Amino acid sequence: MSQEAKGARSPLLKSEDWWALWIGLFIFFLGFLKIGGVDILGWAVKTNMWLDLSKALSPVSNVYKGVPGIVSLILTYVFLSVILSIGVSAMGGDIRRFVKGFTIIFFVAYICWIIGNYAYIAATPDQLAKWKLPWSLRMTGEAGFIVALIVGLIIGNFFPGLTSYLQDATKPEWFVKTAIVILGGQIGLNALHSTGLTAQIVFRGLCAIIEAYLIYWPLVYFIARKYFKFTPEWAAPLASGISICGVSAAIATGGAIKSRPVIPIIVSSLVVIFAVVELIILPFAAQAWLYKEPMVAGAWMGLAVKTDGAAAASGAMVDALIRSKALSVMGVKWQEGWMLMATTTVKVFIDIFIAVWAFILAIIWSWKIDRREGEKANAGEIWLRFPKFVLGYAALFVFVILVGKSISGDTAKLLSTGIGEAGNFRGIFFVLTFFTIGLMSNFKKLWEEGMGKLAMVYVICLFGFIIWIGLLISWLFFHGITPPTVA
Amino acid sequence: MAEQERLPQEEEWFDLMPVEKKLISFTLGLGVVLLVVLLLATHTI
Repeated sequence: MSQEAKGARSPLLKSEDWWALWIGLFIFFLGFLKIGGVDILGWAVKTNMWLDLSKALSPVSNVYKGVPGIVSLILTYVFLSVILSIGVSAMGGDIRRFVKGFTIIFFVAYICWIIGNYAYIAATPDQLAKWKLPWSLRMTGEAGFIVALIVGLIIGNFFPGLTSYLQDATKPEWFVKTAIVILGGQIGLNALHSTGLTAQIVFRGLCAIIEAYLIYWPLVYFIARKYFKFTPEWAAPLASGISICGVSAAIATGGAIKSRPVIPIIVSSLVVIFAVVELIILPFAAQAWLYKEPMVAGAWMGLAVKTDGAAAASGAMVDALIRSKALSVMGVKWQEGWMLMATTTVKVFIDIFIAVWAFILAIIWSWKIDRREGEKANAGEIWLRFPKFVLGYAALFVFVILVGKSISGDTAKLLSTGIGEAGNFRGIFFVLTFFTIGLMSNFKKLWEEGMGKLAMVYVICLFGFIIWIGLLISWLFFHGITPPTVA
Repeated sequence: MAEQERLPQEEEWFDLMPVEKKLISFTLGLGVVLLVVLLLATHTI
């Protein structure tokens, strides 16, 4: 293809931002067709928690239950190779080099994910009895992301030849943006289910989130800028990553303020690592001190733990731990699931607001912070800065709400299943993201770029005030509310 | 080659600009005001 032809390519086809949107929408709509009874994505591979390795993989849909897990894995690989290669080709990349690198990245990342789902690593305390385990590391299946990150880091730092070979397929930002688009549909589904919950908890969850955004973000931004001497390019993704919803918020903010891609990627790796640390500590702290305020504890997990999976797992742990303590100490038997509901409600609102916050930051940065002397701010500049994949996220969120409102019964169940099948790819894109984050995280370079200082801000902000302000906000909005008791 | 592999350099650090101070104080102020308003709302609803 000539240079002119490349230059003439539509903007809608030449950036990763747009291709994340197209691929995310495409996968979502393949899943959505389930509503018409067509199961197009059911063959895709799903990773299960396992003790017997032969049960680690299976097709995501029961319709394909006769298909061996390994076949599902290979079909998933072929499917993703094809659709991503179309994107690479449209963006002017070299398909052969991409496919070569992607093949290794996909299978190594997937092995990491399988390892992370080993029950002794992944099972949370509420799952120990079901799995008949005496102990586990309690890390949830998200441990697979950590394993992928670590393996990626090892390759990225000690095997420069292999890292270079994989370079054309090392696209963490593209992978995570695609995952976020798909997430929009899943969040819409969660919000739809939330309408059946008590209005009180939903309203209070919304209030808590508004507060968390408005208080966390400026404090982290100020500390990072003033005391740790970060430039706005670093401080904004960091503030969003620590204070909002980790990975998705850091990436969306990075896009909105046009930071270098490496910055939200570094922030994302910190977010995942610290979410696991929080998951290990906070539920037990809540059990010790908040067993008389169960809904405060549930909301606190949603406000403090920064990844969706770790937050939901923390909510489930808190639910199990506090109910057992309340029964033994106070003789009260609370219904299961209400604390987890507070966690997920808060988390749903956090996720919804990512798009809003990215839009606000895009406006502020283009009009005020990056504006050069004599330059006029205009709507085109905001559009240029706006992370386009967020449009896909927001569109799917609204679409699922609208469709969900207009259907019921079996059709609603099919919608839920179809979105779940599309959402299965979100997990796959996430594990690809973390493996490739590791690959491109050369510690020597990152240290020069300020990784150590970044981790220090993260620790200080998270343990210094994010967790405690989250606790205060949760207490203010949820204290005195308790789950119904079991008759 | 070594030069090519280096990450692009960021700008030098500069003190908080007036617009950033405004952003921080406005956001925080709005948070505190809304905290009171929303608390009142939750206790009256």
